[in-house]
Amino acid sequence: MANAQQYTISGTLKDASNGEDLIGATVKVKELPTVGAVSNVYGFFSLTLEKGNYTLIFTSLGYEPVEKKIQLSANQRFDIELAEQSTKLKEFEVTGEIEDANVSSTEMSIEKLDPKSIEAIPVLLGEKDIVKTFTLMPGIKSGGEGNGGFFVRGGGVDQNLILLDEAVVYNASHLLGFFSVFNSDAIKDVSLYKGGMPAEYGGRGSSVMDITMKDGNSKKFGASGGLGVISSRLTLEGPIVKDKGSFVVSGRRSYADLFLKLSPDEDLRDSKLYFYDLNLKANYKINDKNRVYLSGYFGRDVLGVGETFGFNWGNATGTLRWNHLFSDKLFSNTSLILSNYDYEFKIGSDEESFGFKASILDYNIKQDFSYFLNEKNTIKFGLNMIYHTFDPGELFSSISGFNPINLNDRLATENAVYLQNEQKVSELFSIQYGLRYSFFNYLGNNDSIFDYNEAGNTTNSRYYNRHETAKFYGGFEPRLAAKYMLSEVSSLKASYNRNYQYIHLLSNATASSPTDSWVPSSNNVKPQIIDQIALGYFRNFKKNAYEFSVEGYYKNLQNQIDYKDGADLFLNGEVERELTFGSGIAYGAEFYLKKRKGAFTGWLSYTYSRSLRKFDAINNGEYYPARQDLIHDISAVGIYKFNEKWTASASWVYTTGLAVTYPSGGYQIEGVNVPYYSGRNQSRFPDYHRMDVGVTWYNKKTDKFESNWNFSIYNVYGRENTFSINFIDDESNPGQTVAEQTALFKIIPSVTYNFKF
Amino acid sequence: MKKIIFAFSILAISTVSCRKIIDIEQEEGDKRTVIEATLLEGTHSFDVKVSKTSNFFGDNTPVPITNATVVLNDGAGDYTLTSFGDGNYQLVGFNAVSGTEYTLTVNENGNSFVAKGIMPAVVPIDTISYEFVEASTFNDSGYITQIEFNDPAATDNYYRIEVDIQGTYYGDIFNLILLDDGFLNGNRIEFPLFAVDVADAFDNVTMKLTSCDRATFTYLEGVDALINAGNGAPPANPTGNFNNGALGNFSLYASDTQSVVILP
Repeated sequence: MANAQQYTISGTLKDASNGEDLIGATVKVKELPTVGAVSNVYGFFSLTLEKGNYTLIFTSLGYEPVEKKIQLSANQRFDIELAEQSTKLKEFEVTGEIEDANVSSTEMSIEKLDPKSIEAIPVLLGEKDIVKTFTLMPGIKSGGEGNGGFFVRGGGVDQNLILLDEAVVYNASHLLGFFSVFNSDAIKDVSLYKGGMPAEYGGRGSSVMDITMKDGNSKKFGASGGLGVISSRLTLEGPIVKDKGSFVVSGRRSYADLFLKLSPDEDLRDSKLYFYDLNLKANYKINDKNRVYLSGYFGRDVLGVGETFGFNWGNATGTLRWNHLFSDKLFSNTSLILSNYDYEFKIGSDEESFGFKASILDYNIKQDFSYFLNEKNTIKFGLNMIYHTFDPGELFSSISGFNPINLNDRLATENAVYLQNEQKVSELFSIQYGLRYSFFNYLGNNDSIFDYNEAGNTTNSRYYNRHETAKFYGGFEPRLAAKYMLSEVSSLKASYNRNYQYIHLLSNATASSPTDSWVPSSNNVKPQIIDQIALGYFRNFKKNAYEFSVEGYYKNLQNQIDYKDGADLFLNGEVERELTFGSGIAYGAEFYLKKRKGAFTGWLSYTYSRSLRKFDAINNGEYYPARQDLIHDISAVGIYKFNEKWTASASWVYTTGLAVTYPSGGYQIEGVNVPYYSGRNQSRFPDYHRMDVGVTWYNKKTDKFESNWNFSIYNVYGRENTFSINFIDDESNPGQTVAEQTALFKIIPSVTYNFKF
Repeated sequence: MKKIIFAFSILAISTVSCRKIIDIEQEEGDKRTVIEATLLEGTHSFDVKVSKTSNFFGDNTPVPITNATVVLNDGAGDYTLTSFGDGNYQLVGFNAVSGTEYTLTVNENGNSFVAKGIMPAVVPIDTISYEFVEASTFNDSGYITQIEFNDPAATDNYYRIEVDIQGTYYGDIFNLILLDDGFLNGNRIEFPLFAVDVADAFDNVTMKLTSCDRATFTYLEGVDALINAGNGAPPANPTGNFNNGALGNFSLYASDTQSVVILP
């Protein structure tokens, strides 16, 4: 047996209707029930078997399986196209997964969504949003309206690695957090790792959100789009050369400023308030061994009042990729990636104005290999180099006598190498083990770099040439995930991972803002180190109609960063003076029950979690709740499909209020009443809860055209959720202070029309 | 600048937002001692105010501490301040000298709070200059005033500027004008006062340039952050120089005052 001839079956799996690569589709062997392969993000699979006769089954959830009988006596290539299941029960399904993947895969702490699956879920102003939908999953939380970003297992907004076709997206929010920058029409697949990250990912402490853009239809030209209350979308796609290459262009623009035009206030009428996104992608298959991809994203928010005030911010990313097969067992991908985020604001007219701008720019090279050693082992290895340029800010002006200030760029390189194996040890037990070594160089830029002590005083300074290493950090990041099948329908999983985070977002403590700045680790700022262990039990019922899971986790956070009390942040070239360093812990339990088959689908999730921080300089060095310490979190989502035409849905969320700092007393300074704070984050916003409902009406589908109308009501019972609380003088009782709450939305109805041809 | 952005976003959103008064559960915090002491260079009265923090909701008038013992030490001897019985304590006609270290000790119900600092040297104002500007987005037509002085190279210097234009005062704690010599050490500093309104012809303009030490400057920055919340920093009590958790600060100020009449 040991010397039996082995041969490799490899190839790609695609959707027969549009040629899109199928991610996570499976190749099973009828004669060997425990053997199989899964397609990667480019649709590629490889499976090595001993010489013999086999029946291969190619499947993907929601697609008709394809069977092939083969006589394996040489390496063989299969490029298979799978057709969508004709019985189109549009269930809430996580496509591309085999049915019991949640139980049988080695990975845990992962959530997957694709845009098709979320189209029925009601959302704010009908703008379907993949990030907002993720916050309905256990362990992933939103900070409420007006708070950009999301929190994963007690981590901060900056501890999420958000990748769009491998490019880092630094600010994923539009309109101060009401929408994400990801246009669902351009997206094929999203995976969010809350823990147990594979070794190929690194750079952030809490989570990885890996977003794959559509490749575009390689069969025929098509258009799709939608008209909504707040924005409209249009996507064009088609073949470059049929079955060899395709492109997709997807754009979205909001027209919120049209509402302002209706305002009686002249200043508001002259205001600008909009955002746009443009996603572009093209790919071309040179031959069976080589394929290239080019993808890009450009998005921007623009705010303005007449000629006197302008503010805009946005991301730009670009990814050039080359897939190469060195052999049918060794798959390679090389990526050149660019990421940029910048913002600028300007006050005054052109002749007389001043303004401020800042940015972060990355050049990134990634090389990843997958080596499909045999049916039991899949090895991945690779390396990654990023060159960061942080422009902390430039104050510019056209007014004479106003001295411009240009803070020097901060430079750094961030590098990693990794090696990982996914091994099927036995039918019941499989394990994924990997090691990542990352290292970071904080570089000089022909200027002096200062050391500060805890009090913020300069203790030392040294001049560094451009690109001379001023500080080096490096560390090993072990990654481990294991699965043990308890029965055919249940499994136990465990994972451990360590993540280094070398760049940090200095964010406003009271609300996130586009002007929050990213800073590198440096002589004064150490990298964050986050360890997580997690344990989970997974069980499916009634032939995978119901999924149930419970996961518990514990995280230890080192070298956390916060502002000192009373920090001065604006245009501060020495912002590191204003920082203080501490540690944190986070732990929790996540319960999840999902119904995924039948006319009624949906899920229920409950999370109990804590996230605590400890800084010598804050709250006398005692543990205190992080802002995102949202102790109880409940999400319920229900979708009911009446028939081919009508689908109704509802969702309800409940979360403990954000931890905030309120005054607990008062005193006087120079005769003025000022508040006294007894400690940071010792108070809470009122609890957050909200219900949304929606109805989708599908027009009769033809081969050429399909469309639907979506009606939704956000916050249907008009809960006034807290956006901010101000302390004001009581009008009816002068001299007394009362708390005034601002809520952003009561009931918001909306209608959206979507089409595709 | 964040304030402007924030104000604008609120403006934009306020078309749909709603406000109401709510009850919040708030434990009244511990009561802390507040000491406000300002020692001026030269011969002046030295005034100290001692109080406790009040409730935040409900009655928020300051609670004076009338039975404290307040002692100033200049390295040569102790000077006990006279209590007025209303939380105010005073030392009449005290001559504070630049370069001398002063220690202030407040004993209150068995608790002792100590702060110390070195009296800075006076940095004299060299000139108050002014220049006529036409009306623009930022100002009315009138004279923009500018304070000019020579920053001593040998020391780190921290300044607070106060301005009086024809009886209108600028530079209180709502609008602190603070300046340090971090980028300008040893230079002649010509600082245009964009933060104050323009002056008219024949207005009487008085400027006060107060030098303080780093601890007091940090405290004033903290006061500014506290009053103008929303600049990005988490809300917090300004860090003063007293030990044992007393709020307030022992500020040592060395000031120079100059006046000029605006001539067209």
